[in-house]
Amino acid sequence: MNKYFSLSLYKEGLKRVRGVGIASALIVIVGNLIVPLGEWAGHIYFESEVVSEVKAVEALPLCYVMALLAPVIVLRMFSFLNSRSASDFYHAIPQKRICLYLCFAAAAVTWTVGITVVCGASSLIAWNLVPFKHLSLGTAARCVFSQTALALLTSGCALLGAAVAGNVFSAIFASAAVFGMPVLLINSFGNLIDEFYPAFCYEKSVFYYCGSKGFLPVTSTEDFYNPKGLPVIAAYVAFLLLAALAAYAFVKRKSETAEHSTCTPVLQHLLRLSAAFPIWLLVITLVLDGDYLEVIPFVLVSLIVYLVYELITVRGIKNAVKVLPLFLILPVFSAAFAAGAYGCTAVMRANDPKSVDDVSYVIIEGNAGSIVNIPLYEIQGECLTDPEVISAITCGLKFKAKSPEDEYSYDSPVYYYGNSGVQLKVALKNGKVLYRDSFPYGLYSKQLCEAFKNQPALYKKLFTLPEYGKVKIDVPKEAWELYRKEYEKLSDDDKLRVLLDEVSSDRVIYVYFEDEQGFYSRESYYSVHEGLFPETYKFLEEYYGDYKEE
Amino acid sequence: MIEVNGLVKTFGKTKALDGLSCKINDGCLYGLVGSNGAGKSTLLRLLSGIYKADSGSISYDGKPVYDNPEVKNDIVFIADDLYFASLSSMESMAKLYKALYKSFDMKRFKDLAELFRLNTKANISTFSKGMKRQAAMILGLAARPKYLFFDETFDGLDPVMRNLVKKVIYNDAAERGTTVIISSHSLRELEDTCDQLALLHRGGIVLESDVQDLKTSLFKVQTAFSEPFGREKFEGIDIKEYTQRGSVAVFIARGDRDAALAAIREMKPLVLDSLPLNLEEVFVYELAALGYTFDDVPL
Repeated sequence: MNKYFSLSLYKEGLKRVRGVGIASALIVIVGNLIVPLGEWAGHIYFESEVVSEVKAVEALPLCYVMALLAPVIVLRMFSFLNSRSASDFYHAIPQKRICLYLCFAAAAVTWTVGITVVCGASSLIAWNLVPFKHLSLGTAARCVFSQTALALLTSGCALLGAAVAGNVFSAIFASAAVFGMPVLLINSFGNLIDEFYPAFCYEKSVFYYCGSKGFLPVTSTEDFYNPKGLPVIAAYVAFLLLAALAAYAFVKRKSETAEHSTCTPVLQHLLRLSAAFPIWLLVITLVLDGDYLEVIPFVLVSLIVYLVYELITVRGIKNAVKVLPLFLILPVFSAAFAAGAYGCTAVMRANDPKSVDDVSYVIIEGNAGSIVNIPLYEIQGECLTDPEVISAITCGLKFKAKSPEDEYSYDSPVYYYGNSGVQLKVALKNGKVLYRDSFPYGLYSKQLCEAFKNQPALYKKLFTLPEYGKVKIDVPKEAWELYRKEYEKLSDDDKLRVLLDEVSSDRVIYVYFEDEQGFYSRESYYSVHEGLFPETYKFLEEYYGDYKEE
Repeated sequence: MIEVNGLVKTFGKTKALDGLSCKINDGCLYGLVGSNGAGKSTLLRLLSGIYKADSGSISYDGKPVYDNPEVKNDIVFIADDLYFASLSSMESMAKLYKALYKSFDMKRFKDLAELFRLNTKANISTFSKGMKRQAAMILGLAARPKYLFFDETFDGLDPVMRNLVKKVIYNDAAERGTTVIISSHSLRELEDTCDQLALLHRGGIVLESDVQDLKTSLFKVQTAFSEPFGREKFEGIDIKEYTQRGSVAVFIARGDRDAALAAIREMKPLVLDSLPLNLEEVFVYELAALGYTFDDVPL
């Protein structure tokens, strides 16, 4: 008898979830075939002569659903842990516990991987049958690889959730908590730091790489098309870690946990607190904003959630009342959480340069915010050494500049420009390199222009409009070229006014910036003032007819 | 042989077993009886390797049972709350048993199914409670285990089926030396089926004995005298319960029955009979000696 694996038990596992497995397969595989089918049907009416490549994001759109169905397969597989009779049966069979776990876990993984692979294969065939569409094997394989990673990640969370819980509700909640709490905590901590210190460059921080984009790639679907593959690899590693942890929990688990909430009282406390904690993140934000009275309903809601969780899982009002004092852990933890975030900002501020003289150079690495700062977009990557330029661009960091006029606080009235800030790499003369977000009000000011005039090539770039094709523009090429031509004729002052969005108009042109994965995640816009851009305005009037931007 | 030493099992704040010890010989038909919450089901689950004891030990010929497939392969536990795979038939469950238990005998399974007249291809969920119990027993017996545990399994069986099951169990015990442990509330069942009996109370075995020996430790006497008399007439006999109607007295006593009867004979009674005691009566009085009243006993 093999100590760790039994083929018959594995086959029993495959049979155990065949209902859920077949239903999942139908949903995912058939659902994914609808898109190429629709494309094929559309081709009947709209012929194209150009063969277009199917992008990764289009190839298997419904495969994401496996990330939701995979844990259902796992929870169904291990549902015997929630029933006393079934738990007794499976714990009585002559197999080691680890063998039982490995066989059933392997069976669940087989279903999950099998469905995603079949989904990928069927979509590959279907897309390549659509005229003038081509899905490469490499793209399809990459999609299957990454979608399987996400499905296995959620499976791993469900394995751990099932191993520690004793009823269906607790198993589902524990699985969700394993999946969501680490990301929630990391992202919330990073956001709090950002709240305390807006110059904090989240996207260059350890929180970004440990949270959304790195080792816990669960908040953004485009993460899984990252060419670097880090989120995908991280998901596979996370699955293995979670599965190993679940194996340990399963072997150590007391059989009598079945039909109870969790295997230990400590875990029950943790899950109960996890249910109510997300509401306290709102409480923290309200307290920081000084809305003390508005905190009260949220605290009450969190208390209700806390008690209801206990009532549902343990089913006893006495038990719910008994755990009431432990609710106080939440405000204490929340305060410590916020204090920890504030402590981090204190460290950052201590590292910030005290004056421009401490700075060696500054490079604009990217945008901070969803709105692209167009002029600075054009000078990304340039090494800026001029002290006046550094002062102007970094004024959002509260540097002490050479004159009082240069000092702008990020809590100034123009903080709304916060959506069009820049990510800076600040190299200090002491050798340290900092990453900060800057939201400089004085960006387009005459002072900045004066500063850049010392560097004519950069100065010219500031006022350059992007070329059609380099970005996605929502008007015809003709209109954009007309706009650029009219823009070049403007004085520097008028150009500044346009870039500063100081000329309002009922017509605007939207510009979209495409990232590496083909998503248009950032945008900007240009006002088409009738006085400054008469020809463009006229063109758009004829093009759009009566439609005008409000 | 099954050896249990100082077994302790706690569920939260409730101590289900408190230092229980016993030895069960091979080939024995061992009955477990006790009040609700005495620890019978817990003991059986510990013996089956389902639960892990907090302390103490269980060994089968010197080998531990918990998470030990080698020992568990010889054990089949038929619980009070039965489990069958979803949408399964007896045949599909037999295939599962065959895959799990090395000694599962498919021929024996088919023979037993025929004997009990159960449709092996039908969905078990359509079976009655009694039929499900029969199905579980057939699967368990077909696995040819060395140790077979029944947790209140006989409840729900009609008398004919009950006798049939007992016959099959006896045959197994006789032919292959199967050790059978049966827990039940019904002492009448155990009286007819078991040769060893253990009385559990509050997590421990308070009485463990051969069934015949158990019956003879207490005795019941019916006697009558021509002259008026009372309980004091039988001073010297350890009477547990005494009732008298007119000149006829019936009492239950502990001790040497023959000596007691001899002593009463010397008193020249009109009537003197030694009546058989059933296990139920023995159970009641033994528990009463422990402070358990008759009303608390769910017989």
